[in-house]
Amino acid sequence: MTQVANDGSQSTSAASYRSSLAAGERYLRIDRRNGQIAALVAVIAVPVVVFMLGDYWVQLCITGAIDAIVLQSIGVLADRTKLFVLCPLAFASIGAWVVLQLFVWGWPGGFYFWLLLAGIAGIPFGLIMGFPALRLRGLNLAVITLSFAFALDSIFQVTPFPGSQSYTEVLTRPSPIGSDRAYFVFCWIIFVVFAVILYILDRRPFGAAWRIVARSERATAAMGLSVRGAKLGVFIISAFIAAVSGGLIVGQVYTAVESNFSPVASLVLFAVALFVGSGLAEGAAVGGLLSAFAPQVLSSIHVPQDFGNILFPIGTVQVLAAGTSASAAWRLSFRRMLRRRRSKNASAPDTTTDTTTAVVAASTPAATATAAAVAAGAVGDGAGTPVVPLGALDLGSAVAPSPGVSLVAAGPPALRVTGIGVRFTGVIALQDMSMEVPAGSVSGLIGPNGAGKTTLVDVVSGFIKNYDGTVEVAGRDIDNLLVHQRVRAGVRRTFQQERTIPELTAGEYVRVAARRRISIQEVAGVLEFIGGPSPYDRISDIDVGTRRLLEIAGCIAARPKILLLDEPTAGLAEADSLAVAARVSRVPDLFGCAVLLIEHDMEVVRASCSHITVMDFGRKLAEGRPEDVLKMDTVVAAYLGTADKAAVVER
Amino acid sequence: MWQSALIGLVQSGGAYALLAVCVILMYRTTGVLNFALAAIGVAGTYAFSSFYTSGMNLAEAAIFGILIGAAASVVCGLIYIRWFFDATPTYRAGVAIALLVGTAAVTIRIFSDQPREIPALIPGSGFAVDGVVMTPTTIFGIALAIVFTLLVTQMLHRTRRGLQLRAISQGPVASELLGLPVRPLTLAIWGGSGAMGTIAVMIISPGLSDEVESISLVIVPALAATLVATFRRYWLALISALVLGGLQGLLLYYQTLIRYEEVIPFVVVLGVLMWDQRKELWDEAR
Repeated sequence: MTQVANDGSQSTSAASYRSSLAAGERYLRIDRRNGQIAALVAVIAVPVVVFMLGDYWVQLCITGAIDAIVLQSIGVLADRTKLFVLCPLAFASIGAWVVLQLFVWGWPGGFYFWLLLAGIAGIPFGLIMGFPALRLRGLNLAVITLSFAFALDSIFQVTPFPGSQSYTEVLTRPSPIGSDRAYFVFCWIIFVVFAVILYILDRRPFGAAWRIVARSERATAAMGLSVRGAKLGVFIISAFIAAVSGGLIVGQVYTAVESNFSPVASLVLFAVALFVGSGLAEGAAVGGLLSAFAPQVLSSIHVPQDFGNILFPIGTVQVLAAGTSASAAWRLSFRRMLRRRRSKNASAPDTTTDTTTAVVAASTPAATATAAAVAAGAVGDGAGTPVVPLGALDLGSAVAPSPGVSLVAAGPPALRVTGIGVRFTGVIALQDMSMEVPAGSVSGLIGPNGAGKTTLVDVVSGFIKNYDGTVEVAGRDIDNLLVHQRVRAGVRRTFQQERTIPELTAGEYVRVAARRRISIQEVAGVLEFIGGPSPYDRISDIDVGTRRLLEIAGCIAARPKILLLDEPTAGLAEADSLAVAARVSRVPDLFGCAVLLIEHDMEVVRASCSHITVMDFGRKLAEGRPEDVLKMDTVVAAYLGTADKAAVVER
Repeated sequence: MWQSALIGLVQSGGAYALLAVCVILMYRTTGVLNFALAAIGVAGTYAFSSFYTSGMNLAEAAIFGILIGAAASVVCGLIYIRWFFDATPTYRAGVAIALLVGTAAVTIRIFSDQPREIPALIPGSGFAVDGVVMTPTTIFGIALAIVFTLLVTQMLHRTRRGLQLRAISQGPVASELLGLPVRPLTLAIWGGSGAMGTIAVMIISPGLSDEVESISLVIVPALAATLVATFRRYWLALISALVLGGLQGLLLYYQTLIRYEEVIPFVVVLGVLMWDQRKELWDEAR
């Protein structure tokens, strides 16, 4: 194990990181347990309460539970992927049609099986809606889904639901769910099952990818996640849930009429979904309650029933203006309340601090001394208590002898680009560009603005498809691979503008980015190494500079073969930039991946790179060791326009 | 067969076109894809009908109805200015959907959802061309759509106000920092579009079922036309809207399909979006 002497400042920063880590872990445990208890209480208490109500109210509760399921299907899309799908009840009408048709045909399997088939029948329609969303976002999707609701509504006006006009034979529910109270419990169980499935999915890369897609397709692909898979997946789930709800409506009223599924009813539920934040289970449940009971409650206080449709939109507008849904706000205040109560009971001094602020303060680059200090901290403190993840980091056995050179055995270069040419309309962006990044090294790519550096990164990572020349990673030709396939082949990159996901915590983000099983210790180790935040910090609470470090941590955790960093220190203070540089120089040693660093700050380049390439006007201008290349007249001229060599050399 | 298409084009094409051009104008200048435009138009049209049945003469009733539509639209515009000045287009569209629901509910609350007679905007029996009856109202609708499109495109590209509006559409906050009267201009667009939306609904509603909510959904074919025009090209939106009307009319010819005219916008939108699939799309910034 590497042992580096710690001085006072190092141990302070490492200790504060660890105490914030421990606080975050504790709060996570408390929140989880409280959440589980609350969920369990709600799951049991709701049916108990409903059993005590009169028949009329039980019917309303069934409507509420079914509405809550429709709201879940809206929440999957609107909350997670920010895709506005305005036809939930159109999917539901398909489910209703299927159940009724199967009943008329006398299919075997009975109601439960038909309900499953109803959900499955919704999927192709979800895919039809989702297919345009693969490449298009937002408004197009809202328009096509509203048109779909409009079209299907007209079809059901002309062609009534099967069996809805014959009164000779009527669908009945199987005996276990024959009574209204039992049917409510059945609907409630389905709601809970969907909620649990969505909860589990949210915590896996598949579900996390939805939130990343909402933020940026580039970021999704750059993490090796399939944009197509994420988007189609969410449509499949949403359509399935909505179609099941349609089948449940048939189970409730034994028939279906087109007015149950009108486009405007879809829009009303959509407004309710945004208002309550139906991406969270409690939001969907409360939304279902609201939409089913609001008319009754209003008329009981002598307000006309249709005021509901005026009140919901007001709530929606208010929620969109505030930027947070009702359920998200409730969850937050619920947590705060319970944490406060717990702090009072425990009266422990450290629990009174708010984790977020404490952790952010401790983890901003400014608060950490130097990269060496952090790297040393990551290994272990003087007291020999390895809180962070030694084995997990797989540190190898040596300290890097000089910047950016590792002792990793030489093989084929980590990255080799040969004869790359890119042409945009009328502009030659890259011309015959060739370079190599040796395995286990940090190489720099510098050049004035517009030289083509980011274009080269786009070519390597696959965002630009039409190029001449070849790209090889660790000896393998990757020209025919798509972005996410290149990621899987070992290419990772960061962007000039950060693309982290505000809704996730830092730890969740790193886990998603890693695309492999990774322990929380290893996540914490990588974050501490890079000088990033605690894994428990919510990204929305972290400053932009630290978010960029978090992106680097995510890439490193994936253990790629080549890491492309696009100006990682832009916007950081000089001391922080140098700290990042020192950390980056250790990446090949600690994580076994080569780094190509695009940078404008020559100090950073000097501190981290063993080799640099200079570009200008889309071509290679020079390459070699930093100290030699930065003195070349051509390089100086490219940067300054005139041969003011002294100025550059000084820098 | 072509008579059927012509009937559709004449009956609804003009109103679709007016709505579509207004939707693009609003989207390009205020960043709002206004799902609520027809709902606002219904409010104005119901006011028009109420005034007329309560004894006001046709022209006055129409003018007051249009003013009420414009006023309702300005109220919606104020909501955007107050809370969503710098929100993303998707958020703004979410608000517009809430406004559709809310406006329709308010209209029902004020005027009730009972069937009502909506008088023809321009009285007169019209004339027949090859069996297709052209009423003065429908001809007025098409003519107005063409003139309005011409005015809008000329205004945006030839006048100083147009230049300011185009700047505002790119960035309201930046434009305000440049000293442009962003808020008054935005409200003017809302008011003008509300008036035009009301006229469009007045033109089309005599032929529709009488429910507030279903008339509010006249926006769907108009949105389909704006989507064909990529939310940008006014003339293409005008033509697409007229063609959509014509396609719906064409179903008249095939008697069995006649009731499925509302499927047409979806089919058109789906086709256009599938065609767009050829292009790969990444978010802009690198």
